[in-house]
Amino acid sequence: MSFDYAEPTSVAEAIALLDGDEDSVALAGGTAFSLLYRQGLIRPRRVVGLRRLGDLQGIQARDDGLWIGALATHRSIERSAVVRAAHPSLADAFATIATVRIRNQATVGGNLAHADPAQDPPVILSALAAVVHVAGPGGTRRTVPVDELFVDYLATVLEPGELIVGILVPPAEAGTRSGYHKYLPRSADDYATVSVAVSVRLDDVGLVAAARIALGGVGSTPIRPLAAEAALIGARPDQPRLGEVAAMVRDAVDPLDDSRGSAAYKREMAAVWVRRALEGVVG
Amino acid sequence: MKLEHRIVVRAPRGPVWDSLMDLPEVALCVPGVEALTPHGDDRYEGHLRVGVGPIRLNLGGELELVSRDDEAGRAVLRGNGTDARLGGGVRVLLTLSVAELDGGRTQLTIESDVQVLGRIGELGQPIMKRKADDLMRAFADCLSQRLQ
Repeated sequence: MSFDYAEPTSVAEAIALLDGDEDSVALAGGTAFSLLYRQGLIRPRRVVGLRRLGDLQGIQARDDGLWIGALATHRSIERSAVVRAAHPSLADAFATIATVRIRNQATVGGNLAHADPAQDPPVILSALAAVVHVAGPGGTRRTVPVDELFVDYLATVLEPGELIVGILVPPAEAGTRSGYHKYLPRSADDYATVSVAVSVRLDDVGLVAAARIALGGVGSTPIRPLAAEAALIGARPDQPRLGEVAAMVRDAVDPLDDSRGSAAYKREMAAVWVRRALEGVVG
Repeated sequence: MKLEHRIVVRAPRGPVWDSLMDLPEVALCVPGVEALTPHGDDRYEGHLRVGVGPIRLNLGGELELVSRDDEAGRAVLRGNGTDARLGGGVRVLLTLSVAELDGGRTQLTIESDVQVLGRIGELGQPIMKRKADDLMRAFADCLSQRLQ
């Protein structure tokens, strides 16, 4: 088995090479690709290496938010002073991904396109209301909120021939606190049994003015428990209320039984860890 | 891997059973089946395409009606398919049974004993089970619509 390999130098050229063909694959850091390829689960006809695309590199603080190029590695996000200044929880979350060797190789764009619901970046980026910028054939551009990107296990709304060029994380409003937690009962570099990201803003009198919650590992896609978020808005985040919100999370998730726990156990842990994550930002 | 799916079809038992036993027709209700064509007595040939993100299986093979009891509303089918491109295959023994429910509805029970061979097994059982659930749900919706 073999495939054609090309390394374009412009986004337009990369998209032309992908040619809207399901059997063409864009290669960023290659961490997901190499696993699927070596397991024999994918047999692409063409692989388009993205590493020479300068437009997809870099991290910048802009007026409209924090711009992270699709080819930014997890490690560069973890260590970026610009990221830490804008969204400390984002830098913290990226510091917990897998191992440093993987963080040096894997990219944020590749991670989102791979759409593994147990991985960390979709969860924290969803809680921070990040938006994915996508380039397509004929010079088209569109944006997709991270929490609308995923449709199923390893599946996104991206069409063949579309490419993620970067992610924009909007500025946090003053008073917003966010955090990322993952429950790792086995080892520190394992996939989480459940992961939770929260972002909450309290008003002057201590009521919740804005709240976003995102969970990983408990469904075919990352999940936002919208009813639980709504139950926080306008409320005082005291223990009874946090208990009610956590209970609503149980009904919002849809986990699978696997080696990291039964579906029932993960449902329970989703509630426990949402509560802990909320306590961490409203205390 | 043993799976059991129970689905409720909004139609009486008789029409549900007749429709199930028209295998080439009912197979079109399974998402990813292009055609099931007769190939000797109680034997059929067909293709099933299933995708999990970038992983696309194209299983080609045979389905055989092993036994059929119209009175009891029970049939056993044996299928096997291989994916030439990825390498690997799936063998399945299916037991279908129907039972009358109130309100002119029918419960269809599909018990599957699935063996996954070769590379396809790398997908892992939880994912395959979820995919099977999705297929069954779509199958139930399609069957209900056809019979309404």
